[in-house]
Amino acid sequence: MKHRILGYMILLIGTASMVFARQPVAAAAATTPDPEQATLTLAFKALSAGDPQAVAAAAESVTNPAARLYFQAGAARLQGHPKAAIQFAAKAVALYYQDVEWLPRNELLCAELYSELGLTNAAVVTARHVQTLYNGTDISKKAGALRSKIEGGTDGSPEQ
Amino acid sequence: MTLAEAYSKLEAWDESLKPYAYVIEHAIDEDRKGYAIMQMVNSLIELKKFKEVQDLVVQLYRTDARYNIRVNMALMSAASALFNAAEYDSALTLYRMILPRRELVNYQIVKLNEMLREARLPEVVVKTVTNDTGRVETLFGKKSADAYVDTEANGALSVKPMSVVKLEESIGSLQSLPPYEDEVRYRMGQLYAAMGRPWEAVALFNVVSGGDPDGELEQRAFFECLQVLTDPLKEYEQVETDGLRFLNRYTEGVAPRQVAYQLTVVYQKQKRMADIKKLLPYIKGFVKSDDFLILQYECELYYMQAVADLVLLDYPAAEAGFKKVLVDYPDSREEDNASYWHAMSLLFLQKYESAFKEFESYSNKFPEGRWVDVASFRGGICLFGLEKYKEAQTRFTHVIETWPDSTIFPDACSLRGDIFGSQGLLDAAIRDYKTAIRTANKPEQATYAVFQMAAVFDSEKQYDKIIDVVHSYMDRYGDEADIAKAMYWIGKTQIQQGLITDAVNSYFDTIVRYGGNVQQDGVDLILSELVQTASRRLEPQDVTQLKEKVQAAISSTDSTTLKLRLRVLQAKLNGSEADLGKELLHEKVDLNQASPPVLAAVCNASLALKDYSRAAELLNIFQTRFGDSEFMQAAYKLREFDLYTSGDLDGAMKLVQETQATYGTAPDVAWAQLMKGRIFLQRGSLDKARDAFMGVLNVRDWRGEPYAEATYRLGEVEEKAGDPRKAFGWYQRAYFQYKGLAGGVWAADAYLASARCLHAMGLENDRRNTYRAMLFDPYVNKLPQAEEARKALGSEEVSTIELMLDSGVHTNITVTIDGETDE
Repeated sequence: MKHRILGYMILLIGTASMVFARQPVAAAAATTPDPEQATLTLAFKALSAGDPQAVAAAAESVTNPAARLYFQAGAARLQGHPKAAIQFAAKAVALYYQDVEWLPRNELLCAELYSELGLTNAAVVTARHVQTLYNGTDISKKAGALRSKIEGGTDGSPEQ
Repeated sequence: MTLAEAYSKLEAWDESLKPYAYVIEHAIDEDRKGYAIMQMVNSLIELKKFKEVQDLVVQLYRTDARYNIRVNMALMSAASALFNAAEYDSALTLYRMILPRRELVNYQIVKLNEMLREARLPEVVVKTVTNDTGRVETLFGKKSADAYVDTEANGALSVKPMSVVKLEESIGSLQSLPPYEDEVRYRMGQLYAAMGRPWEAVALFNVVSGGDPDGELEQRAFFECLQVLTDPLKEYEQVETDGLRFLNRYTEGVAPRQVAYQLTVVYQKQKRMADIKKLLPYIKGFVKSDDFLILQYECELYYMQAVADLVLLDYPAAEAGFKKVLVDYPDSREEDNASYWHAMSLLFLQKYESAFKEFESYSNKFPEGRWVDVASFRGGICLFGLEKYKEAQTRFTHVIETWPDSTIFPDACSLRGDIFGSQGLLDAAIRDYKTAIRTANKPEQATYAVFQMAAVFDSEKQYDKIIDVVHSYMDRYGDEADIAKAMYWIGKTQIQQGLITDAVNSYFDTIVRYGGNVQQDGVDLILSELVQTASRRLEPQDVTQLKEKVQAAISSTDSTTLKLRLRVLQAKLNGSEADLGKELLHEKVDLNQASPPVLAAVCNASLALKDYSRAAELLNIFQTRFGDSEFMQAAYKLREFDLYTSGDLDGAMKLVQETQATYGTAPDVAWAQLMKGRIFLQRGSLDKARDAFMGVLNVRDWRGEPYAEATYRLGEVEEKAGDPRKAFGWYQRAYFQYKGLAGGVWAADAYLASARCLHAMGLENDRRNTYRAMLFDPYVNKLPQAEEARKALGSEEVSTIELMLDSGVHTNITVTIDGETDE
């Protein structure tokens, strides 16, 4: 199945792969006074620091809907509400699938949250999609690792 | 293109590919190219060449053709075809490529303005005006098809290039298309649901269903959202809240039926059968329709209502429910199931004749039906219930020979074994039980056969064999075995072997260990056996020790069911069951937590207090949950007295007949025969009443109190028949022979009735003598009835009698007339 969707994957997320490779958020924040980028930087930092209130506050100021949902999901997850979290992330995946920058992150987040919720099948299905769709990216590797952890013993490489 | 289309119309899909490919490669016109792409995709879909479909679409997606509406329509077709072919990953990829109409229009507007700039014409801004049907009438403030444009200040018109006019038309057509975004979201929702990403599906269904709440697509999305929330998400609370809100608003069309169906599923999954029944008013309130799909859903809903009735043990409602499905929805896909369960409902109602006919009808109508083997077997049970044992035996043999791999094969063996056993063919019975045990699919099947076999061995005093079969059963089934019942049989054997202490300890441990489960009827068997053993085989100090252990267990357990059982055991050991029954009545214990001996104690206490308020409930609990329990006769008795007292003689007689059919002339069911006589007496059927009471005197096992009452009642029969002399004979016999029974109650009543008869015969002196005899009789002279004698004799004579009694005088006052009885 992978070969069928590789074309689309390259087309749709080529830009996104580049974005991840270059860590655009940090770079952009350093070079341009874009308030959205500054907010995103703030949100990422809060997310790394595990501060749900700060993540939620930052999310309020994010204008990109897919990005806002991503951080809302992150905040809910940090507050110990994985079910609420996955509803934000799933909404981003379902409705803002044309947003090539945020779709992979939200899809991976969904896979992780499915796993946390004990919905193992959904976690594996989603992780497999992420792994295949974004092959060659860090997101894909993380999805592979998640699959490996859930399924126990597989090498996590994309299906051939 | 003409050639390609001709091939398409001839459904020569393979041949159409080459000319379409030619058009796609050579067409200059984007629309023509887009149309060719769409047609080629259709051909490839027909050929099920999904890989080529995807390759073609992906290839196109790299070009500006992705902004062509036809390409987007082709994407939808292709994605849909991939979805239907369960190629979910590919389908999702394609769905994600479909651009929203707004984006397509924006792209085309930019393109249009570029063309206008090149033609030195003014750029346009979208000002869409639509008519009532949604059709675009003006797109840019003017008719889109206008070939001229006002460019000069003086109003002179310039001719638009044809390419601009065509693009304007194309944009107009695009704007006039019905919105497809919701359709795409809905299909993606279905896709996510099918591929196993439920929360993404929910997000999409929620967006779609949040549109026009009355829209068909919206309601479909709402229903499918409930399905995903149910399975796999198990968000039952949300399904219930949203579903009920929907049902409170909508009553028409398929959607309310679907929602009610989903709520039923959710309640079934949670085993909330009573809540399924709460949906019935909604279902009945749906606006009627002849639509096929609606009727299908309605049929399912009513079928599941009947199933809920069955699970709730409301057999009359279940019977009516399955019948409704069969009558109102003939030839439905549930006909097979409904027919079988209708017959089963009749069987549960013990309407063996009707049930048998239904099972036979099922077998004839559905010779390949899923229940055909079971229906044949159940027919055998009906024959058994009808006491047609020979026919039942033939039927079970038929089942055994015809369906050796059926799940009911072991049951057929067991029941045929029962018939052999009842005929004294014990070897044949044992053979069938052994087969049943060997082929059992479920522990319960082996359980039944094992303990039936143990009973046979018990009757043959083959105790070692009991031990062998029970141990082998426990080894095979482990925790799934009915340990309590197994321990009952092992203990029984130990008692026979003189190992009393071992048996008592083992029984007590089993009660404590399994007594918390109300369905463990083996515990109740043990309880009775333990009481008997304690009274007959234990030394007083051992009984005391046992009572202390029981008290300690009562204090330490949190289980209501176990506590109740232990209290019954304690009361039986102390001989204080009547007091316990009163306590339980006073405490208003939850009867659903009570095992049969506890329920029986409540029944007996209720009867003693003439409190019939829970009589129907108690009998219903027995009939539905403990139909085989030996304790059920206490509930029959209470209910029969209830019905008799309230004047429902037919109801009481029906239960009497049921009781006697079940228990026959067992020693402790003489009351049923007495009740029968009283009902006849009340109806004035004196011959039948006389026969009934005489029937009591003819059963040796009923000697004692039943004899006393029957003798007295025979006096009542004759008195009512207008023969005081004969009546006197029975009454006198009652107080002569049975004064020591039932606390002298029947004797006391008989004294008074004798006096009444003597009065009727004008024998006043004898009447007074009867009163005197009554007051001298120590068995009755302290009872309330004696007051009537005192009044009749007057205070002076009563004082004299009391003085004589105080001084130790005994009399032998007798009244002798020609009384006669017809024994």
